[in-house]
Amino acid sequence: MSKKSNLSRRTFLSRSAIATGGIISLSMIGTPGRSTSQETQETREFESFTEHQGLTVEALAERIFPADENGPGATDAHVITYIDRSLKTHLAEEKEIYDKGLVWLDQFSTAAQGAPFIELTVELQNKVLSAMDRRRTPADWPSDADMTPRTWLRHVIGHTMEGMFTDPQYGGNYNETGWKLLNFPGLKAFGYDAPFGYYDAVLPEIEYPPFEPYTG
Amino acid sequence: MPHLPNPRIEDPDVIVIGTGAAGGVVMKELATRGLKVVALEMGPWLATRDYVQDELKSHHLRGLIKYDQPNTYRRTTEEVANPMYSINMQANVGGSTIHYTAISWRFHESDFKERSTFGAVEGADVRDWPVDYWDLEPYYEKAEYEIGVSGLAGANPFDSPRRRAYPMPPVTRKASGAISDDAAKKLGWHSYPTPMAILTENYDGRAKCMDCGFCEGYGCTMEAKSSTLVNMVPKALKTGNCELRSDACVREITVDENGLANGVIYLDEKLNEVKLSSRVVVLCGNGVMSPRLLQMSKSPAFPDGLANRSGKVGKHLMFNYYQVVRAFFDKDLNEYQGVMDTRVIQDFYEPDPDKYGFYGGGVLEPRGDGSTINFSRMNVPRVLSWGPKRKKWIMDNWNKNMMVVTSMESLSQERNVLDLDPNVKDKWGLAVPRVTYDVHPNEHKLGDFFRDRAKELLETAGARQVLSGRNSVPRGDAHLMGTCRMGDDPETSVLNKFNQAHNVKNLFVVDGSCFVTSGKSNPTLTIQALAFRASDYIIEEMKKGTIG
Repeated sequence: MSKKSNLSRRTFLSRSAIATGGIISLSMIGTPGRSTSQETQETREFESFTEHQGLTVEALAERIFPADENGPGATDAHVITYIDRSLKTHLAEEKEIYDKGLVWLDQFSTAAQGAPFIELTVELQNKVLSAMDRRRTPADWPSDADMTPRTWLRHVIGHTMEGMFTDPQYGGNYNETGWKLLNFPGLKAFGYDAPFGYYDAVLPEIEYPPFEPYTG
Repeated sequence: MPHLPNPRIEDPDVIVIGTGAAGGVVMKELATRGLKVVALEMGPWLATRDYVQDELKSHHLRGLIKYDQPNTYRRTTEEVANPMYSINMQANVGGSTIHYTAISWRFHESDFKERSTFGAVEGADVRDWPVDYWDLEPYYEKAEYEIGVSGLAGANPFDSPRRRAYPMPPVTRKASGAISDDAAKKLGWHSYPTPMAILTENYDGRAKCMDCGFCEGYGCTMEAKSSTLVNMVPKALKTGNCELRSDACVREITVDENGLANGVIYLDEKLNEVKLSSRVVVLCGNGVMSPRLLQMSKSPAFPDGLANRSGKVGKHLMFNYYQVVRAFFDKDLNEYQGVMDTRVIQDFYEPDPDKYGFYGGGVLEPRGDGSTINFSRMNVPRVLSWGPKRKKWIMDNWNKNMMVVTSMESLSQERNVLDLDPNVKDKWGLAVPRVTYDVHPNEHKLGDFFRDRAKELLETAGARQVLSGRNSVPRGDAHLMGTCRMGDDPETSVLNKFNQAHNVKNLFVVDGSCFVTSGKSNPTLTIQALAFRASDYIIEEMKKGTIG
């Protein structure tokens, strides 16, 4: 069970979600793991990535921070836009790590599960990530890779979390998706009044003795 | 770029190197009293509007808040030092007071005479300072009023005596502070309002803090944080006696045939060499950058580096050892609001070594963590770093978390050294600072004790979960001390009690490098008190004609 899932079913699901005005995230539906924004477009363009790379990173990010019953995920927050753009700016030094790592990922994915990462179901994609996250490097990880899968995955996890929770100006946290999950008001707030949280509201202040200046 | 009228001064009486916590004070003090000053800052001159409420840019990227050049680190001299960014500093105008937490307390009387109070420690070089608390007391007061420090005098029963209350009331208590108050009371400890260089009232032409929450690790967008960028630097320039040159990286302090400092050579924005002469040089780099520049300033009179006949320049590097304990509560803390620290506990500031089995003390600083990126990728035992469970963990815990940072004494050890890396150069082509540092065994005992106290505090407060793994050995820090220590004996110290170099009487080093012991935490107010005091001395001596 490693081949592409039924595309027509995906198309149907995505159209029905749009048609009903559903706010449910498309990527919540479960299978397949590949980005759902593919349905309506023939090709996707990226600033740093090839199409295959970009779609793979988008799928990876969605596994790292998935849409589920608790709310939207990495695809909804445009994490891929953040990573893709940032590789031209402040993450430029990481571009090579992505170029190499995405090749290793597909090699590993094909060896372990029979197909490149984006062609796997969500379930199998999660299996690939679990295997990569072990302390011991799996036997199928390419022998010429100069980074362990766990280390490489840490890079992608770090950037995915940046893409979830960054200031939206960098392309991620689209529409403050990540901040809304936390109820973090972000940059809208320019100040707060006490009490700030629950505990300072309910716990009494301490009474301190009056100040006695030293007069020696 | 200059943001304020910046007079051109070609023949300064004094060159001040660095515009941070100490440099800002020195340039303002000297210029206000009529001396012609040129202040040189290696980094850019950014204005308040350049600092943004942006976690990615401020906390994670280098340049705006974090110094963008690496240092190197090794644990012992047998190792090759690896490049990393373990020195937490910034080199913009205002230095690290741009992003600091702004905790501004006075050291205690015992901090200045540990050797005579607590005795010697094997493997460490603990000494009394050549100044005591009462030498500094008037300057602490001056610093609190001139810098703009809020606090509640009399609240901390362990505080040293003071003649005058703080100029304004303390910062507003947050949830982490209330939790501290409640648990400390149950434990018989004392939780008191943290003295902060953050305005709680409109003061000195600046508006009070609005508790926006973008505080530690950010440049204040409202000028309520009392950074030298917004208090000392504008006052210095307003006198007309001070010119500020930013993007001016000093590579050498030069000496004349008599071994006196006669100026500097710096690299400007385009890496052109510029020579500038003066009668007096005041070096305010910090505990890393100052010894580095002295070591780069070699001459026939000073083959081992300027003012280094004792061989002690760069030795005795100290940080404040710290351990962090994090806890999760049931209700919302909203710690993304307000300043970082609102309460502190000093019940274990100077424990008796015979009774406790370790030397030195520390403080407990309950504080929040409103970071979202940082929080989402932190290591947590038994929680995967990805997937639906991580997502749920982030959502359930982000607004329920706080920390107790415990900050402690680091012992002065001669083997902990700051010197020039032989292999790695920075963007100016200069050797980067190399840190060789390991903790004293005492620090592990101290750390274990304080981690347990932090745990005790959080458990008493009813935390649902407490994470308290031991932090690793520090490779660097924000508190940089000890590398040009002061003392009465020129054989064993670099500076005298007025921050004047023993070997070069018209050279002063004013910053954390002069510290003889590390105190327990947060050295900035002590650095600033020393800077006000050294400035008085420089002015008097120049008037008398003994220097310059």
